[in-house]
Amino acid sequence: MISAIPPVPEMMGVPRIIPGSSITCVMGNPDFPVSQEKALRRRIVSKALEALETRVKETTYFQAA
Amino acid sequence: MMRIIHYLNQFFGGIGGEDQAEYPLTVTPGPLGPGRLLADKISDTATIVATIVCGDNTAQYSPEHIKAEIAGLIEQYAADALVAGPAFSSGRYGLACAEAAEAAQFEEIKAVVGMHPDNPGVNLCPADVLIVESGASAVDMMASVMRVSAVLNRLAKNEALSPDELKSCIKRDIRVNVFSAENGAQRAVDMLLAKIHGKSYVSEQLSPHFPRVDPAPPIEVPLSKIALVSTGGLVPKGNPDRLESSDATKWVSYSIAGRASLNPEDFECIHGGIDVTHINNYPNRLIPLDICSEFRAKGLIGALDDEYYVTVGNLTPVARCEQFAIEITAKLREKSVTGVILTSS
Repeated sequence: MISAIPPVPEMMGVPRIIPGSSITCVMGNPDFPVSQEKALRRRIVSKALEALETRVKETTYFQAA
Repeated sequence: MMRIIHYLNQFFGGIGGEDQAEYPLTVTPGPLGPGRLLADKISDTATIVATIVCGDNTAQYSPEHIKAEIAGLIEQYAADALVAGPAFSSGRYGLACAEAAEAAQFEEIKAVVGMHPDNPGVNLCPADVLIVESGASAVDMMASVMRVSAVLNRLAKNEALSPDELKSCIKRDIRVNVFSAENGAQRAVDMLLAKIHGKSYVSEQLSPHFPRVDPAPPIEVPLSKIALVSTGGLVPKGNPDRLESSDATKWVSYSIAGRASLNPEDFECIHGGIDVTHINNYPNRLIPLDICSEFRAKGLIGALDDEYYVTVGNLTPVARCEQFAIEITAKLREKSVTGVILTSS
């Protein structure tokens, strides 16, 4: 799960958490130029895919930053 | 001696099995079946004055009538307490025990019910009824009756339950009003001071308990079909299905077949809890279809589901979200999806 407020999914017991960028823009940053914002989104999605490929036993954070 | 009236179904009352489920409500003086064992364990403090036996179907056909009959028998036998079950995990029997407990409450006498925590009767028992935990089946009869008898002995002697006996009762997290010598502010400050000094304290507020889901095993993403799911309320322009902006009552799915990106001309965010400007300017900021399509083309993702799935998490109760998750997961399984990227606002 990609969330800008990771303590919420953590409280709910979500096993794989990827912190997002911000609440109103979880997968981007409107202050960035388009190419830089895309690169940020690419990093977050890559982390999500890495999380899907990782065995976890309990809530585990995958930091995209 | 406390006078107890005991409720049993037709099976434990010795009448018969499913073929006797329509057996009418009858009453016999003294203990019967498991009641004999129970009577033996409480003989110093209480006596079972009568046993009510009723077929499991009969008890469900006309609950109001059954409750009235039980209430009448409580008066007739001048009972001080009602015991029902143990019903173990038997559903109809558990519901009937809850009916009996309601009758006891109506007559303002104590009620103790034996049930397994999963029995649907647990939720139907009146709040002040003690539900003593039983095993899932009659294999646990002896231990279950022992636990019921321990609680009954306390009630008969007007004593508080021991910590172990309290533990044997099913916790239902029901709020009760109590009088306290100190007001809330004083108690809160005391708790805070205890916390700061590393001393133990007991919160008066229970934290909500959420069921834990076992983490899914890992997948090989380049060989897997991935779906995009979101609680962020992204819908086609005009919100054709009227997805609610808060307190959502449904989830919806929309086709992304042939799309490499979610463009602002066709999609909008109707989430009612955030400023949606950034998402509306470029919806991939909520559901990253642009990057996922790119990764799909590069073979980093095996396949992408041709729909995305969406609801609104804003103020939507957890229980309802859980139901959405069950329904969405069933659909994803049908479509052989093995991985999900879930984004929230």
